Amino acid sequence: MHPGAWITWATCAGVVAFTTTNPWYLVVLVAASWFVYAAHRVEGPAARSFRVFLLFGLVTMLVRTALVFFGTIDAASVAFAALEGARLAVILVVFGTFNAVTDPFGVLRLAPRRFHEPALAAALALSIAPRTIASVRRVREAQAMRGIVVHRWRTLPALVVPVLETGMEEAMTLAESMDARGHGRGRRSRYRPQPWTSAGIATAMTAVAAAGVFVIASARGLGDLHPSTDPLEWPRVAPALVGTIIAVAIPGVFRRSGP
Amino acid sequence: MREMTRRAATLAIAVAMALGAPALGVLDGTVAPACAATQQRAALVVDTGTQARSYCVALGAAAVSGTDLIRLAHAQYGLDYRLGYGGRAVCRLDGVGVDGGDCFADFPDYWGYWHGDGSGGWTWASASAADWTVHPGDVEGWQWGTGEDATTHAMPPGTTEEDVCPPLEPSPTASPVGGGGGGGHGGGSPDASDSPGAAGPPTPPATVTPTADRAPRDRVRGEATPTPTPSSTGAPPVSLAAAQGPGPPPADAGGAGPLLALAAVIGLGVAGSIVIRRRTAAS
Repeated sequence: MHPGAWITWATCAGVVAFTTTNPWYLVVLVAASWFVYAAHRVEGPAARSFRVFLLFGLVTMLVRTALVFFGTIDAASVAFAALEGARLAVILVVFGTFNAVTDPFGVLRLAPRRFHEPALAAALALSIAPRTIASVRRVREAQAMRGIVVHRWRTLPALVVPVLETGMEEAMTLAESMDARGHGRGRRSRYRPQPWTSAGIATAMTAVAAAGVFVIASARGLGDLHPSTDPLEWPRVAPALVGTIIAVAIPGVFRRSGP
Repeated sequence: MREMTRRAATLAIAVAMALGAPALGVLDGTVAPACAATQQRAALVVDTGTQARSYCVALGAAAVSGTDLIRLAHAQYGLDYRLGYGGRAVCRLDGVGVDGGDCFADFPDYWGYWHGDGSGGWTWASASAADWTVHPGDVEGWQWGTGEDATTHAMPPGTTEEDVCPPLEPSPTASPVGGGGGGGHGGGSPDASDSPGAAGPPTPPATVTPTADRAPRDRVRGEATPTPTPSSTGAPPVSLAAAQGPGPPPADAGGAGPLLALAAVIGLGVAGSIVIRRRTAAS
């Protein structure tokens, strides 16, 4: 699918998550992301990023909740912090899905020539997670061959130092190679441009529509997007909004193009 | 293997925290008036712009926060309320205000916060009610309207603590407590101790009755001694809020919505797993 479709999908799914702290909607959005990830993940190290971001999201949520314990602790403030953390976690899951289903450098090719440099920076930033995940795996394998099993705090430097070094080297190599190939200075040909397929258009359009529905619902205070935590009440659910989030999973039913 | 167990434990804790947070509310109920039968009282005036209600709230402590006073009025009188921003702002009182999480969504209309000056006047609150300390004998006012400061925002009707909290018959066994205008002891429960949970004998239920004086606004006043609610039997906030007249539409916690959401989660989850298994088998 066209990388533009994935950018649109991820941005809109992120907007949906951003507009609500209702756990019902957030859980359905995670399920939708999982389905899209399952159908479209690119085999390879980047495929791990869904799981990594899911765990990272859970840690974020725990930390956000734990911060409450520095202030007044009651059910209301704990619930408020947990829901805020859950929203952040779901945004991370959406981002993890995006990382797992598309190639960040495909995104780079979309940028107009004059915005090439900011786009390169953005692509590097977007790809930092999958690249780090891949290099952690490589370093672990290499260290295991040397007899160092990285699973304790004491052996952590044996993992972290090479990973950071590799990351720096990779970024330099990438920038140099792109420079050598004349990126960002004048004409460049496009090798096998990816066309917008009907699946890509449908993905982008449903995602935009879903985000629109949630933005409107948020502006009008509909659908209990922010359930009351003080007094603590069981969150209400609008079936129409659940249906809207299910529509976000639509790219999952399209067949994956390419290898 | 050990790593798997550790991961599973981490996940379990995370899920338990996510699911457990709402469940805590069932245990907590609301801020319990631990010793509501004491004479420590403060007045709360809620002016929706069309009518003002006053509540004589038993504090149960020498000092509570401005938002705690609202929670106590909810527990004792069923005052409808909703706080936002993690309990730092007031979204809705007495059925008027914002239902979402952004308490200032209806700006320029919002709940203006006033402190009584002791002689019926009001001073504009400069900080969040969560950071303000209410002492026995204080008067707190909330007014729904426009205006960003003391000169432009409307005030609640002038009120003193004596207007709202009736003097109680002094009890021979009562030891005087040096609270502001509180004075007297809880009617009907002179032997109530200060220990939490040891509520006195039941007192007449709270009533909110309209009064004759209608100037400048329709004025309603709650005068009875509040019924102490022991924390163990405290009713959940929803049922109390439902007893109050005007309020938000009742929460439909059941119904099709949650079922649809559950079905969607299970359906998408299972479908995703099947797709992954099929793709792994194919490669």
